[in-house]
Amino acid sequence: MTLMSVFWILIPLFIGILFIGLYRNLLVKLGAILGASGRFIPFQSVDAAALGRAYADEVVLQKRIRLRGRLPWTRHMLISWGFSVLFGFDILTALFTKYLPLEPFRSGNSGWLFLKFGLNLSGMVLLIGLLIALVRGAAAGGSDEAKFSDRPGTIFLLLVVVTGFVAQGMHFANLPPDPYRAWALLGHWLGEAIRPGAPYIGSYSFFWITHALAASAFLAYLGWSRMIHVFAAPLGRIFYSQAALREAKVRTVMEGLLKPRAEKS
Amino acid sequence: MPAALRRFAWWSFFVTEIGLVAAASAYVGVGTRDFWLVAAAAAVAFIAYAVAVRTTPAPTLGDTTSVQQRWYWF
Repeated sequence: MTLMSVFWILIPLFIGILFIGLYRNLLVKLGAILGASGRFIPFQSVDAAALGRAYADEVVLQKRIRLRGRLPWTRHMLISWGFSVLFGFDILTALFTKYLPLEPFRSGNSGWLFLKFGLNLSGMVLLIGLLIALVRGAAAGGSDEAKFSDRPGTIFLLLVVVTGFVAQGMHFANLPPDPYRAWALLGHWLGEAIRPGAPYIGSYSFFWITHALAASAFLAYLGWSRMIHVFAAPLGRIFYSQAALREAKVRTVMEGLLKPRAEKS
Repeated sequence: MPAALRRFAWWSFFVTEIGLVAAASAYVGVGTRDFWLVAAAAAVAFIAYAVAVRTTPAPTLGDTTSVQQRWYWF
């Protein structure tokens, strides 16, 4: 059995763990809120302008985090956009190099260089954001700001990113030099830096499988940790952009408060 | 939990797991020993998910919006 087979066998389990976490820690809570807010609002009653504004302000620009300061906002933007774009490029890479292998996406061609550029640039953005988070988390220990820190999540994601760059650097170092590969940015720079020690056969396999397993395990971890805010926060912000839902929730809570309490026996 | 949300929970799970098994089959082949191991992993995930859905208690609105959780939720 190859390492790739082991990876594919583990993936449905990791994703299952993610779904269980999302169900237990997000969907049942969403159900309770929907219960308090009445029901789903009819589609024709959705305030599309308010929804669009909430998406732009809360998800795209993250203005609420900007209120906490420039550094927390910069760090959060780097991590969230770095992660999202990297995930998108990962999907595109799998699609165009493995499942629908097209000529432009073969190793060294323009499409392949574009994918490598996108993967490495977004990975570097994410790496910078994570390093800022780690340093800032250590500096903010004990302060009010520390409640927003997620050191285990930061270290976990850092492990995924660093092993990815090291594996890629080793892979490039194992190949003959190619100037076009400079589009791979940090992966290329790392590969050139470690080229004198090439070839990396066993260590490349080790870093590659560690990266693949850590990335999959991180997806499972999302549903069970503070990282669930990746799903919960945008949902919550968009949810309460709708006046009908806000008013329904206030009405239900007020009705509950006005109900006479049942006598204890 | 509203029926629409429950349906979403199940459909999103099924579509993702079936998609993963289909994607894996491109690597390990169809009907091979590794294919059946991937399918078994998906089946285990299904059983665990079904147990979670059946046994997870519904929280109150107070639990959902408690101060400890509010920072990442709303």
